[in-house]
Amino acid sequence: MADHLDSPSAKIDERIDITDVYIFHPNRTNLDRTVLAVNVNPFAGKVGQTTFRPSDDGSIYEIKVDSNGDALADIAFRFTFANSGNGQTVTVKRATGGQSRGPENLGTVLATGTTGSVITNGDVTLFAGLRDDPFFFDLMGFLHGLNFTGTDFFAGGNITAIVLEVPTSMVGTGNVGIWARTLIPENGVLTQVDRMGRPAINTVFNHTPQDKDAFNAGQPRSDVAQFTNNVVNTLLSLGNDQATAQTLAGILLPDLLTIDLTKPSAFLNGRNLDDDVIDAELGVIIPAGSSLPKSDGVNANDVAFSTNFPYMATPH
Amino acid sequence: MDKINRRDFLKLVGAGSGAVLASTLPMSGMMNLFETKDTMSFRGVAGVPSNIFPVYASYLVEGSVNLANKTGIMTRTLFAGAPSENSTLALPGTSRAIRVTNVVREGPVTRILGVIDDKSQLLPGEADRVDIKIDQGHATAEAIFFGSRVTMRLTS
Repeated sequence: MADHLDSPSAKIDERIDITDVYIFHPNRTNLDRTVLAVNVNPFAGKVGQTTFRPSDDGSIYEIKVDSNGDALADIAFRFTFANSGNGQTVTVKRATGGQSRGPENLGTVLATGTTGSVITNGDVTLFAGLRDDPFFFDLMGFLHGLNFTGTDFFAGGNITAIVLEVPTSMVGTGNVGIWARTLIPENGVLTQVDRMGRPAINTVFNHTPQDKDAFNAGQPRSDVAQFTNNVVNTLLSLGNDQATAQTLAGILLPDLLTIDLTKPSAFLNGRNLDDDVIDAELGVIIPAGSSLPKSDGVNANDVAFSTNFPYMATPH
Repeated sequence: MDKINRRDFLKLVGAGSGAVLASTLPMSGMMNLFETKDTMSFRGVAGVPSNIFPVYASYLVEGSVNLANKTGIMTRTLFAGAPSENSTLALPGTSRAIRVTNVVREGPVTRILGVIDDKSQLLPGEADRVDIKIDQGHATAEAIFFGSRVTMRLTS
């Protein structure tokens, strides 16, 4: 539940329900290359579907990049899909500046090809298709009073992944923050239905279905004003003092997955597939001295990741 | 497990009739439990987790028991989302059929004991025995799931 099934609106179509977002350097240290990934379709084939939402109605998947710390997009990678025979094709575009901010499918085509296979165009590599869900977490322990048993609820589960590897210069030169979002037409208007930066922000800090939908429909730029109270109140409930809660809220919002591209990736500097983000976040939000556990006991994915593109394991 | 929704699951475990009966009965105030001389049907809902963190999923427990024979069947499923969402997305591997093994009446409280016969379904930390206390006075049902006390609201 990094972001799986996180709000009522996100559940209307599993294909646009974001589960996780990643940004990392291949093998953590290949700083010349950067991988951006967004996963959708929680429990694909069981709850979710195994394909992407076609873009003939305007639906679109995006990964946005904020390059200057203002929580506005400066670069957008846009992914669109089309049904083709028994399969689908995927196209990725890159837009910059003002073209990166709106919902229109603007930008320069970087690569296009068939889903389920690795697509290469010059120094751009793209994959979109069914994969093992790389997220690992003892969900049942979380739901039952943090009584963790170290059981990965997501073991054996699949998602559909969009994985893009590009020269780091296409993403930025230093500190950037990224988030992913999905948009579909509603009443004739292209509408954002899900978004995500860091794992488990919406699921852990927003308490009502209305707030969860509002968060998914919102922009990072507005996060501090709109959602600081929710974050602070949850942190206080966990036993943090007011000052610590305010400080942490200032780090957790806006909901951007930040990375210094000049350094090896390791959560909270970006997010690798194998980073134990739940333990990292429990360590941040649960205060010292608390009796609450700071680990869910699940420390790795159920299957090994590949060292080669698209890095996520083959589906179950 | 194939994609499953609430209706399909009830059909699957053969427990739909009691639930449907309960949900279509004439309302008198808040109809949250239906009882005749020999049978009792109920439906309880609870969001989890229950404190500190936001509700992420909802238990739906429903069943019909024969009070005379002390038999019956209950179903328990964990659906994604808060109870108010009425989500039909069951979290994979969380649907259970529970065979009633005993029913004990203690004043306004009815205690229903059951067992999950298919042990292969059980997740770590999940007990195969189920003990639900239905409190008609407070319109609640209480049980321990995965070592954690869950208080459900009886609902139509």
